[in-house]
Amino acid sequence: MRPRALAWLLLGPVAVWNLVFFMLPVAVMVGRSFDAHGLSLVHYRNLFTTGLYVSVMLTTFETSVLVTAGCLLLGYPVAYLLATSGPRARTVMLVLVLLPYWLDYIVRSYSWMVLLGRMGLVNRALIDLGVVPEPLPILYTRWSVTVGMIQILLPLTVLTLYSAMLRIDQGLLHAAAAHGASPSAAFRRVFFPLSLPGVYGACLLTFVTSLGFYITPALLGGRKDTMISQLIVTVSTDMLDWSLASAVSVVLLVVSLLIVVVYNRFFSIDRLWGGSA
Amino acid sequence: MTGAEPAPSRGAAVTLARLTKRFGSVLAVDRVSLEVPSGSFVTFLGPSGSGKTTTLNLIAGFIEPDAGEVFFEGRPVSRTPTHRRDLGMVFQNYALFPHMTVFDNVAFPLRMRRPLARRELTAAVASTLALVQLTGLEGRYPRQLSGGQQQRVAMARALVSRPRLLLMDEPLGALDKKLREQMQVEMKAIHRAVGSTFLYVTHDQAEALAMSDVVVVMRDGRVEQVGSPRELYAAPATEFVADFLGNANLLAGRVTARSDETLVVALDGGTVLRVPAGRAAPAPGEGVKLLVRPEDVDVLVDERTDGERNALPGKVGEVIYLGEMTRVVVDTPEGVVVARIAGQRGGDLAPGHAVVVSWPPTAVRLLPRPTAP
Repeated sequence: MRPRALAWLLLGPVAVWNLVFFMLPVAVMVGRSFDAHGLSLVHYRNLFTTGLYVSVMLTTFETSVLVTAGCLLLGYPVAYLLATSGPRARTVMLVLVLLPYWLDYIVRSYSWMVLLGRMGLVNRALIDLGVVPEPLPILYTRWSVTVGMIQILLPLTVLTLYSAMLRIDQGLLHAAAAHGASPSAAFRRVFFPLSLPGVYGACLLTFVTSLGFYITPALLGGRKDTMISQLIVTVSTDMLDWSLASAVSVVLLVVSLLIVVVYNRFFSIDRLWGGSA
Repeated sequence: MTGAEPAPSRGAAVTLARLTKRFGSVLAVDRVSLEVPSGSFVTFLGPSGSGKTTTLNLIAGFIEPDAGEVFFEGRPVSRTPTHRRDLGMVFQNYALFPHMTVFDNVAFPLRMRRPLARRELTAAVASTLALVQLTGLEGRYPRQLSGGQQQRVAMARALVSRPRLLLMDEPLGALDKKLREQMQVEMKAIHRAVGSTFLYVTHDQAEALAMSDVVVVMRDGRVEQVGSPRELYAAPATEFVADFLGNANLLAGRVTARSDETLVVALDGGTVLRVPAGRAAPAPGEGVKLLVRPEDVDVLVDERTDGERNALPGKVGEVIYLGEMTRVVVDTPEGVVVARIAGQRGGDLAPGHAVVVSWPPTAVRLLPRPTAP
């Protein structure tokens, strides 16, 4: 069989599947977002001129930035430890990192409600310790959404950073030490700069995934912390305005794609999956 | 090179005292003791797994010894971290920093060790790049360079801060043969120019012989023999050294008689030879191996050899013409004997010819015969 024919045979099933169940619905959605008894931008105008919708989009953006920054700050040291420790310690730590990842994030979001609720573990502890006289309003805030999302997305950040750091030749650190670099100088001058592609990649994945989060902000956030996915659900199922919901979805889709395209332009997306740039 | 060349620094004297390193159940380095004089070029030579790279890593401080000590200038350094050991090092894969230009790679040790004004830094990098004959590529990144150029950058980075000790782990291993031979010559010149102590690791015996003041032959984590290239080649202490450095004909036999000057040896195949008795000649009854280098062996077709020479009858097995010389493999009753015939002689030899191989008895080196396992 010619290689080309074989390639089509291998790709065929998934291509058909994606076409019917993914591309087609997306196309229908995009079409609907421009449809108001004829081609129209009215839904987009509504979207960008209604204060509530704009603030939801801003909230989504802000929350995603916070979550990405949090994941990076917490995840980088863990990934560094993973990449530089011996095989046995590495296996143990990897399992610890992955363990929460295997738990469904709905379950994890509910767990956060238990922890952060009015009479949750955190408030109980604070009251019993006499730190505060009455429960703090920590649940249903931007803060609780951010904490929950960071916890859920952290394994993704750590694993992306870790796989990028694994590709850094440890011999380079020997070379740095042999030529006078203290361990901290070797980290600053050699390891950290070489880990930057991994940092960008991890930020990309974490940020884009954050943008589309639904369950966690729905369970842990208040009215003011609504994110774009919640908006899509509300608009389509409560308001039954499918065209507007489609327009919101297209905005989310385009923003996500733009970020990936810009990233690919500068850092080559292959690196994320282990290809060399 | 210009007159602005910095004065050669004095190389560090290095002492290894019963240095030992174990990896799991393997003794990678086994009680290695060695004196490396200041400013010398010392090569650790051995097959892979002989412990030579581990020894170098112990000296660099990448790993800690289980026992024994490394001394620089008489001071123990086991508690000195690598970055304070005043080293330069060339790695087998060069380990150049991929995110830095050639300039920044070479400037790295200077920036780490002594802060210089921009102009001094530039001058120091430029003079070192001139030393390794790599000027004009300062702005390139390592991936934009050929293997040979990367090798030179690695040399420049190792040399730029004029460390007193330079460690090199198979630095020419990845180059092709011609470039390797050229670099051997340059390496020797650089060594003379900078005056640092060079510790070099290789498994290539020709490289070791060509460059070193002293060669340390290693085997299974131990030092097998230490000596100048000439000593090791002409007077190997063991069969392993004889075989590892150059080619060796080894004939097994037993001493049957001994006078002040002469030893009579009965070879296993029945031939009896007379060879000069050395200072520590074995006593009658002891097993010996006779080492004869191929370049000392002559192949004659039908001439009778005079009684002065050791001779063995045989049949030509293979004739390999190598240009500057011809290698002749001869099957004798004592086993295969290889001869290297210089120049263009040997053109009339062909497989199957009856010949006599012979050598002057003074060319024979007596080696202890390991007791049969």
